[in-house]
Amino acid sequence: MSSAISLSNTSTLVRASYGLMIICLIIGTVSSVFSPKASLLAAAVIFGWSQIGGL
Amino acid sequence: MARNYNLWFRSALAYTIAGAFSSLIVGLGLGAVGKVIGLGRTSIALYLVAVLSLLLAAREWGWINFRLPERKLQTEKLWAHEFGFVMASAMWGLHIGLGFATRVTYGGFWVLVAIILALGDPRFGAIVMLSYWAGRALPLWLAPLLSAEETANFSESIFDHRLVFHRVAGIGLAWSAGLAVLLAMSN
Repeated sequence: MSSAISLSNTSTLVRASYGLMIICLIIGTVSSVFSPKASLLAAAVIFGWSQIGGL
Repeated sequence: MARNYNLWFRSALAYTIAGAFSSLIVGLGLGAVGKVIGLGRTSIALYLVAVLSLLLAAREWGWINFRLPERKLQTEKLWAHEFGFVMASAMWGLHIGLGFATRVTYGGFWVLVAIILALGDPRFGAIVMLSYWAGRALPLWLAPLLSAEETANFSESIFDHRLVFHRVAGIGLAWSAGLAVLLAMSN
């Protein structure tokens, strides 16, 4: 599998994975200032999403 | 077409709600166990969780290799024939939402279990597992956005891009290690 992925032929699945990760990281980073526990919830969403890779 | 969408929607909803229920129960149970064991009284457990997270992140990035504890079982496809799609979807959701009852491909699940045990808070444990389930159910709800070609080659696409999921999980694990340290310092 090629490790170089261009956006023009990246599948919806890959874009959604990276997009969700970025959104969760942003939300998690901001929320960690107020509560690390809240930030953990964003990490939990990422872990749940990544389980699709086990199909 | 409308009938197919209606069936899909009811099945997806049944799956999501049932999985949320079993995830909630698991989270409550883990938090209760953690509370009884009393790990949350010291910070050591959380520092150990941080170490575990880093080891699992290294595994996702291919630096080390070890097997994760898991039950090598997939949910029953026969249920769809016996009980219909909507009921079968609810049963699949209940089964998969338990977390421990099927395959665990990435380490994030075990880090969440460890953190819930370490914090010993049933209510927060339930919220964590509900968040985990939200992530698990999300691909189902995004499925209508896939093109016809992507839908037809879904399994192949996941296999081809499995490194993406490893990277995403690894970043989440490294991040969780930092969160565990923050929680330990504030304990």
